[in-house]
Amino acid sequence: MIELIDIWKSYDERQIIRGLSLTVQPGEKVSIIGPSGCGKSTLLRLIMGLHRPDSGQIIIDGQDIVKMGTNELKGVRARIGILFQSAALFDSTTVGGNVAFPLQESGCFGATEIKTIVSEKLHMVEMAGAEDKDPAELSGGQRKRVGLARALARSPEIMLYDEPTTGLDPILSTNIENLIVKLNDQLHVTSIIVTHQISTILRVSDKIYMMQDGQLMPPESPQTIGTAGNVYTTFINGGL
Amino acid sequence: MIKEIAEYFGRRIIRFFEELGVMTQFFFRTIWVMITQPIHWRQTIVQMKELGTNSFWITIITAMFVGMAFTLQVVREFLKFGAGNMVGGIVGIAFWRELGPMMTGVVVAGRVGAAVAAELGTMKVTEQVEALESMSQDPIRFLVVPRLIAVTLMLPLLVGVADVVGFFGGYVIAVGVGRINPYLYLDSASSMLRVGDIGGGLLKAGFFGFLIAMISSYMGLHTRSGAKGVGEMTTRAVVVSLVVIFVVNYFLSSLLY
Repeated sequence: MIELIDIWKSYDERQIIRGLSLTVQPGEKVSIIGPSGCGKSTLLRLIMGLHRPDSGQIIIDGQDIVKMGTNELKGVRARIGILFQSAALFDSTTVGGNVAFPLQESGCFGATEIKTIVSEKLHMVEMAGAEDKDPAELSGGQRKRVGLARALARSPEIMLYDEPTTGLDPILSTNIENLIVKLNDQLHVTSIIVTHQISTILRVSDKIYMMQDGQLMPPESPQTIGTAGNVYTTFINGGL
Repeated sequence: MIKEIAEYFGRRIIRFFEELGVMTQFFFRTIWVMITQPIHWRQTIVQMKELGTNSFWITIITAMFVGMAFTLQVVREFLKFGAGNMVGGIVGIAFWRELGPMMTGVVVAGRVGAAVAAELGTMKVTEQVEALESMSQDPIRFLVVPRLIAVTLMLPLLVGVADVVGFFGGYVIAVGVGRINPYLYLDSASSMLRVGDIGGGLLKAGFFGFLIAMISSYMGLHTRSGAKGVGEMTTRAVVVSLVVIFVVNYFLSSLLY
């Protein structure tokens, strides 16, 4: 379970998150929506332990990661995968090298095992046989898929998605959305998705939160969001 | 009006000291990581090849022509005073003590400093550095330390090559243009040049390599705001590296010779 309790975070004297609290149950798919620059991506980085909050608690399976040192955080991060908005593939290595990277650096896997896992994860994201390709040769959608394969390499229990479908055409967006749903069904991972895309929100979420003024509004579900008659409906209708 | 000017300069000074503080913190953290965490040798070797080997030919060409141009000036003046038998020694001392380390330092600051700052800057703005962190890899250990070791080790090697090539370039001009006896050129070098001259030059090169890698890595990892930011930080990395090399060279020369 992921619990964020009264999180505050500022950058350069600008308060981004103001007393935010959130609970995500194991296996749940939660989407976070909101206007650009409202702190959605910051939230994912806080959960990943990439940034530290000014105050508050981030509890993952009973452990407060805010109080953890770098070595303790390693253990927590090994259980979390993140798909960055730009996919963040390493240009200096191949597709296979990217997916193999977290496995190699963990030091827990042999070369044969790594090869098998890489092939399996690429197959899972429908990029089988792309091991030797250069990231520069890939389209936006393919890059996201490889980024997803890399995030899944160590079989995380929690997946964080930062704008997984932004900038993709509708067909590619649907493919990525299908992948997220499929991975959640097959691997039962807890998913937090930060997005602007209405289709993504409606297709992949169990719960939807709106982020506004550094806080989360009470959640809606994909079934109620269109008719709630509140800020969520305004967002869905393009009013925010 | 005066208040506004004072505020402007005040802000600039505060910003300068803030950045100096962040830079110092980065410097000590890098040293700490280098001492306390295992070195990523695979990355270090890759960087030695990328940053060192690829600077080989540019160093050779530059050293050859600097050696030739320097000797062309020296040989004319020395011949006027009948001191042609000292040209080899003067070229040797000038190259091993100053020209070799400085010239190679400038070449490497331009080529390697820019490459390091641009690569790390691009990684920073395309979230690759955060991706590394999300996989529990310390960017300092994985990106900075290998580059630091690679440039610090490779620069003395390049300087050694540059010294030999520059001295040979001088030989070509001294013998070909100045009509100086080849034996006298080599003999004056071997009698005037001391081990301390060679060692001091190589030591300076190590310092320069360390500073170039440290400054460029800092600039790269502190890049903000997209392609424009990468360009700005790359330029700053080269400019700051060059200025620091010139300043540090003076103090090292005063200490060493």
